[in-house]
Amino acid sequence: MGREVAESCVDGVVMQMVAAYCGGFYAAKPELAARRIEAIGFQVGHQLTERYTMERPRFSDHLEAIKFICKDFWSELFKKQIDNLKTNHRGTFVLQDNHFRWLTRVSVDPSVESMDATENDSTTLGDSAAQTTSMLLYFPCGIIRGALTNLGISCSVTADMSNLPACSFVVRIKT
Amino acid sequence: SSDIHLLWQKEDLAYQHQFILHAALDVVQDLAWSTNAMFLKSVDRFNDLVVSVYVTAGHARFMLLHDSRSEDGIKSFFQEVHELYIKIFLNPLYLPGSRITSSHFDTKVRALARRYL
Repeated sequence: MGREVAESCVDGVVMQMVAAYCGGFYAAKPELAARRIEAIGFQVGHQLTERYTMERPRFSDHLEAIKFICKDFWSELFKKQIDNLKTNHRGTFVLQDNHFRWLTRVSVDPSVESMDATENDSTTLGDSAAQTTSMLLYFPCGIIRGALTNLGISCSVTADMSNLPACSFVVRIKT
Repeated sequence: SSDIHLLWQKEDLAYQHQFILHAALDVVQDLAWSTNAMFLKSVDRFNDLVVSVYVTAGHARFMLLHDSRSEDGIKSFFQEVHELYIKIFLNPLYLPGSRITSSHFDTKVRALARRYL
């Protein structure tokens, strides 16, 4: 159970998954690509929680489960805890990671892009870079939803990446 | 004809055991949210048979129908089975909730039963 995988391999697999579904399988259907990437994340999250909670008693309420995701689960996956957890006490939680590991090497600076690519509008390049990043975020959203579903909490998860490399995940619990 | 009768009795007993375990699932459903302990001992009884259960954080339920046994042995058995289950569960080709058909898993569980129960 203690086997590990090189992080660069994980990065490569995640990038290739996004590239395959957005640029290949569902090139003309971004909505389907997003749903497929999220579904893969869901299964990964669902299975990882079973593994990471092996020594842990069950969670007695939603907040305990969310805290587990913010601390232990996040540390296992991203080597750090969530930086900030907010809630409106009505079933919505916002998990903010100020330096989301999977975005730290993603460039979305249009001026840098346009210097490399000739005869391309920088606005278009900026837009396509943002699109790629948002596609990539469907995977961690699925992971969180799968993890919480396995712990008995039905929810929907969306990502806010307006402040890169910070990223916020909004969890809405279904009742 | 007496052989057929004996076979029928054995099959009937197997069905009865399945029935007892399934009936206990309702008890487990309620208990699982009232305590966070994974090992739920003696959640149900039927004549001289007892049902013990192990419920993970992911709400996977291991049900054991047994006569009187050492609680420590049963708990250790469940913990080892949990580890085996996780190995199956992490296989990307295994569909969560589907029947576990691995003969390796079956062999290992039977070995654990002989060792702890």
